Formats: sequence, C-alpha cells, structure tokens
Amino acid sequence: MTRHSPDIQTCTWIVWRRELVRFLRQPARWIAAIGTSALIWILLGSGFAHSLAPEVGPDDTIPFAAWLLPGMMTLVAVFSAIFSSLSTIEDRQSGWLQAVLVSPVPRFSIALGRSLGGGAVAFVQAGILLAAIPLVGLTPSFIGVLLTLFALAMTSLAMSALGLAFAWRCSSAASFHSVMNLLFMPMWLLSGSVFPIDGASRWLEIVAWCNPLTWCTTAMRSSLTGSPDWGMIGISIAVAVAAIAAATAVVSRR
Amino acid sequence: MNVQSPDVTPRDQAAGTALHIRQLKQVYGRGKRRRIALDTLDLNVNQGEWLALLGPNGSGKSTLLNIASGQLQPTSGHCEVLGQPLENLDRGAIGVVFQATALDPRLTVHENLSDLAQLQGLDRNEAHKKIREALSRAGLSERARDRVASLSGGLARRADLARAMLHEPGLLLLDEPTTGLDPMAREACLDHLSEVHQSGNRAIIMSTHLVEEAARAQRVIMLDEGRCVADGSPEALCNEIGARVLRIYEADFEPPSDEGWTRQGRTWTSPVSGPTDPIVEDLLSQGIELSVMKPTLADVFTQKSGRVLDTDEAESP
Repeated sequence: MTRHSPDIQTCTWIVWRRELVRFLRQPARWIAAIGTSALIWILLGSGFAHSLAPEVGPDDTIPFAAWLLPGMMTLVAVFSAIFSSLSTIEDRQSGWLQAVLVSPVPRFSIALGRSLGGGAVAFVQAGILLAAIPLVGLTPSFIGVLLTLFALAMTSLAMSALGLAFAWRCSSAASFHSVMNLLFMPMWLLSGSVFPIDGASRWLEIVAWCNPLTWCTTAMRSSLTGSPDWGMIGISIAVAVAAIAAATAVVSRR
Repeated sequence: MNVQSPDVTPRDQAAGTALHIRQLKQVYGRGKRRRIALDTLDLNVNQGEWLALLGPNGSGKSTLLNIASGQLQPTSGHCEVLGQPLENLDRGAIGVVFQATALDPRLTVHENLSDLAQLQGLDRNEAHKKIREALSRAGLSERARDRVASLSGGLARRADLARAMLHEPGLLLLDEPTTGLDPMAREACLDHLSEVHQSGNRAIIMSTHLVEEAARAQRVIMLDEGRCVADGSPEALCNEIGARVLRIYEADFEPPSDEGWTRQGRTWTSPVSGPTDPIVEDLLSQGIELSVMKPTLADVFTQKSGRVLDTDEAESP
C-alpha cells in the first residue's frame, strides 16, 4: 500500500469541498441564503431607494440605497460566514473533526479549507446583492464590479476565518452566539455599513477606523462608486491573511 | 496498587511493541479542582495483541487513548506509539474509533471514506480500491451510495470501523466503540472486530466499561482512578480470584464476615472453592437462596479495586 504524508493542497481541497457539499445538501441553508439576499435586494430597490444622499467623496453624492448596498453586502457576508462557523461546533460534536485531527492532515489545511468553504458560501450569498446595482442608481465600470467582488471575497474569507477561530474554542452553539452578539454584531455596526463614520463622535470614529470590517466595507464601497481606494483594497487582503493566520494558530493549539 | 504488566520490556526493547508507556501521569485542573486521571501508569502492548481497557467512567480509559492518539499531551511520563515517541508520532500509522461515529451524516458512506482516506495520505485511486474491499468486508457494498444519516447505528459503526482501517494502521484505538448500540448490534460489532483482529498483525486497544465486551479481548487491563489494578487474559484474571463465586440476591442479607463479601445493588457476592464449599453448605442449611457460578471480570474488578464496577447491565438471578 502506498501511503504518504497528505499534501496541503489535497487536504485543503477536500475540507473546502466538503463545506460546499454540506451547504448544498441543506436546502434550508441555501433557501435562507438566497431569501435573505432577495429580501434586502427588494428593500433596497423600493423601500429605502432615494431616501437619503450622504456624501461619499468631496465632490460626489449618491442615493442612500446605493451607499447602503456595500454595507448590506458586508452584513450578509458576515452572518453567512458566522453560520458556516457554527458547523465547526457541529463537527466537533459529531466526531468528524476528531477523525481529521488524529490524521496527518496539516492544521493549516483545516483552517484554510474551512475558511475558504465558509467564505465561498458567504461570497456567493452577498454577491447576489450586486444584482441590485441598477435599482439603486449606480453605474459602476466593469473593473469597479470586479474590484468590488474581490474586496467582497477578502471580506468573506476574513470573516469566515475569524468565525472559525472563535468557534474552535466554543464548546456549544450557545456560547458562539454570545461571541456573535458581542463581537460580530458591533463590528458590523461600527463598520460604516449603515451609518457614515465621518459624522460620528470622535471616539466612535477612532473605534470605527480600528475595525477591520470598516476597511473592507470602504474597499467595496469605493470600488462600487467608481473611485477605487487601492489602499483599502490592499488592506482587505491583509485582513484576510491575518484572519487565516489567526485561525491557523487557534486550530494548531493542542 | 499499581500492577505492572508481566511482559513489560525495557525501553530499549520497545521497538517491537505497539504501545509502550512508562510512569504516565495526567492531571486535570488545579487547586481544589485538581484531578488525577492517570497515575504513574506502566503499560506495554505488543503488536497483534487485542487489549481491553476495563474500568468505570472516569477511570482514565479515554485519557489513555487520547494520549496514545496524540490528542492530549501527558502531564509527565513517557509514551511511545509503534516505536516512536509522541513528539514524532506517525499519525498515519494509527487508526482511531471514537465514542461517536466520526462520519458526516450528510455525506454518503463512500464520500466519507474517500475524503478521510485521502486525508490519511492514500492516493485517490488506491483509496477507492481500499474502500471497495473494506465495504465488502463490512457487508456495506450495497449501502456505499447511501447517506450515513440513513444507516442504522450498527451499520454506521461498521462503516466507521472501516474508515479507521482504510490506511491499514499498525495500532487501532477504539474508545467505547459500542456506545449507543443495541445488544445485537453490539455483538455484531464485536464479531466484526474479532475478524479485524484475526485478519492482520495490528494491535487493538479498546476501552469499555462492559465486562462481556472486555471478555472478548486477549488481554484485559483494569483501570481504577487512573491506576492499573489488574492485568492478564480474561480467563487468567477470573481464575485468579477463585474457581467459583456465590451470589445471593437479597438486599437485607447479612454476610457472616466482612472478608471477601461485596455488594452491588441487591446482590451479595463472595469467592468460594465450589458448590461444596463450607460457606455454601452453611448458607444453604439456613435456607438462604443462592447461586454458585464462575466469576466474571466484574467480580475480579471488585476484588482487585475494592469497588463495584458500575455496569449497564445489572446481573440478575
């Protein structure tokens, strides 16, 4: 029999593919995923459209719905990634994770595969919202859409990895819900997704600009509104890399 | 009491052994919550040996298996698995079966086995060949494309056992593998395990708190509060405490002396030489109903540890 040390690519691929297969075999999850996006899409397209027009640049204004779109994409990505992280706790309880942990699989592959799997689901779910572009009065360039998708991919990956890092240490879904309420929800509220950061009080502005999700949302918004912030796009890559590094560190601890 | 295995060999002879443990200690918690799970345990398990770790809940069985499978770093002591210290543990050379089935219920049996075999380092084509053979041996060929969620507990357990052996490990570690199975499925699982044992030279270490399961193994180690209280073949251990035991199924029975008598629930037990033992004749003359039978591993545990092995299946007349 030929047995060799499993390589990182194969292990990552297997862990990633399993995450997607599990998602597709749970109709409730993908119906909820599409349903949530569709609901936000309808609300943006009708209810809130043209309600407000906060500034996005010194010489430019866009409708509130257009300004809100990247924030909603962040919201969907964050919560989709969080729910994917819950499967970590389920796997620990079912024993599948234990079987993987006693095998020669590199821990980095577990962290990367799970982050990519959860991130892919979050990316698709949030990406559906881009179909609302014509409804909110935006006319981004093709490159702008591609850059938005790229920043969204980094955001989804980062949130999925961060969710994994916290879920790994949680013994139950209930304890992970506290993490969700105390960390992820405030992160989203302080990311400039729903309230413009510039008008906030000084201390809140400082906190918001220390929030990695702010950088990711800004990267998406700037790309979508036609003036890509390359610095923020670069930082969103760094956020994703740092989150995966954190997840790997947590997963590697025995 | 810390009984050493009679076939313990020095460290320099450990290469031919599946598991070699010296003065292994595992402590959980600190201060008032400090609990010793394993207390300076010595153990040697040979290649090809089927060993049962028998003991009540909290006796250290799972802790020992967690250390041997590299999931837990011991507090102190030395542990070698297949000739390698834990720091260099070859994870591909061991197979582990947990109390809960380690298969994803949403994937098919074949998908589960294929993924986990490749994660063990098997080439994809070879993995598929091995899976076909393993499923055939386990009588699961017809169910290969079924989701694990649709299998009965017994079949899922067989599939899990097949999963743990796909990469042909030299050491198979099973943590209470029949948990949650009904008596028939449990028996079938143990029969399957017996076939696995006979089919190769791999060592099997199985934890259990059921004496009838432990009796199927070649050798039994009894653990109590992290210490080894008895070690030997099931027959040898039973013979050690006497040819027969007498049982009296009356809660309010008052034993003639403290020596040798133990009580579990309503049942009183004492070792005797046989049906003509003076104690038996004396009790019969008093009109007390009793049975004289061969001792079980539960009796051995009680004699060795001074405590009753809390089994699921209470003995009855």
